[in-house]
Amino acid sequence: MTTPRPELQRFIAAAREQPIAPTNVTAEAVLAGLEQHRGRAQARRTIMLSAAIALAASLVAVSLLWPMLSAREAAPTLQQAGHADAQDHRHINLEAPTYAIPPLALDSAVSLRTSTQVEVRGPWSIALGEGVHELEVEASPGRALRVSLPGLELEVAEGSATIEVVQRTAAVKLHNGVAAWISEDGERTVLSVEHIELHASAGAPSDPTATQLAREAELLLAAGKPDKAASVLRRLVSSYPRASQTRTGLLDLARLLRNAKRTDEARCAYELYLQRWPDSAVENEVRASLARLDPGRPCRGLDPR
Amino acid sequence: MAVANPHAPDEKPAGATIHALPLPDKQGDTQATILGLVARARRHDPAAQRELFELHKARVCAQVQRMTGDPASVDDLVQEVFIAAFANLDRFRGDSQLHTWLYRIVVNKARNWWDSEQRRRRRELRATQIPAQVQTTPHDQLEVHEHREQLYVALGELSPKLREAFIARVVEGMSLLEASEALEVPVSTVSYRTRRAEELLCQALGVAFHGPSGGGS
Repeated sequence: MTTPRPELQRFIAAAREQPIAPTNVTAEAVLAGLEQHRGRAQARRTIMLSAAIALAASLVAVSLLWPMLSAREAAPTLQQAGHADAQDHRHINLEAPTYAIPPLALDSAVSLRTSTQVEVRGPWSIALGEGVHELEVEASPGRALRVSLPGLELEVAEGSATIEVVQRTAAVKLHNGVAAWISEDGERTVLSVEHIELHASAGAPSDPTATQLAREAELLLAAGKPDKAASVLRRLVSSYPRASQTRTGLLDLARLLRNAKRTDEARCAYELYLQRWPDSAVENEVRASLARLDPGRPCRGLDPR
Repeated sequence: MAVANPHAPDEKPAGATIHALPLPDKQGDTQATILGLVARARRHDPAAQRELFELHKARVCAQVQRMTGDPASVDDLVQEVFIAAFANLDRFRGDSQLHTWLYRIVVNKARNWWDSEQRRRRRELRATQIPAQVQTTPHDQLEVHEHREQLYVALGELSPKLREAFIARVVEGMSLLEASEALEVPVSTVSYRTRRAEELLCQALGVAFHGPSGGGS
């Protein structure tokens, strides 16, 4: 056998022969340290568990609120909307909060709540773009509110109305009061009052508007009730097939159905969206979502046959 | 004194017996007794934990000091080793000797110790101050002390794996098989690492290295 170099042996021997002093550590010190170690480990586990629970809760909250937050970020401001071109109007998201018109811009007799863009042309003249607009006009002798809509003009002398503008077509529901269409040659056609019975009895239930349904669905989603939200969205799609709220609501409905593994219904929702809004800016995304779903039964509206 | 060839597979290094500390077996405790104590210690029986500590503390203390070369750090590391051992006793499967399992913990704790740059710098600083501190010691003791300090400074420059193989094989005096089991690496790896560590130590200490020669005994 050979050994390491003699010169190295000197160093090794010095290490091996170093005096080993008896340790001052006692069993009691070790056991006390062990208890501290266990306490710290327990505290770490508690912190980790708390952090995990908090993280999980945050993730759940974010996943529930994400559609609402992202929709709000996407919604144009009132000023931006005033300059938006027709192409931008297709991106209007009616889940955005309702905007109030500055009080000085319109006559005090006029009250307007809208979810999108409005052009105030004067105290008694407005132009409405795509979206849903709730209008109230108090009677003022000799005055009527002129409302410009895509392709037509409306004059509201008094009363309340809901006006929906979707893809350059407008629908007006006059709840009460007096209003008239104005043709290009100045001829007036008086509107019939719809739902006037709702105002006759204050306590009677009313049909919710598209905006109300969309908001209700949003609140249900935020409350973690996706099934109920889907039911409300389904009602929105059926009751207001062309409303702009339906446009985003249908996509939300499709997503909720897909997450609930109701694949056939989700596919029908996506297909219905493409039928109704074939030139949508999100067409490709919708088609991609549709492609990820398994093919299934053909659809009739929202339901598979 | 003679130092064993670290590359001989089954040979106990010649100097190993000089430093061998009393083992539980030599005190009459059988492996079964140890395992019984371990079982009780797992159930947080303080008496069993005390007994295990008393049985192994001298051995662990010596291992820590030979692994670090720093008597000032021994107490802290010994305490850390036993706390870690008792906290993780469930992981001791009983397929090796308890002292081998403890040695692995010592290796890990010592590795952390060596990894601490602060301690390394303190060690280097202390090495430079040795002559002033030990002026009254006899010349031969001073020389041994200096050699030891130089060796540990050089060991600090090695990678942990090389250092651990060298200490287990050469300083602790383990056979290749014992070192292989203690470090949980193949025998050939222990042999290679030990030889490589020797080579690097010779360079660091200014000692000529011609590599292992001969085929062993």
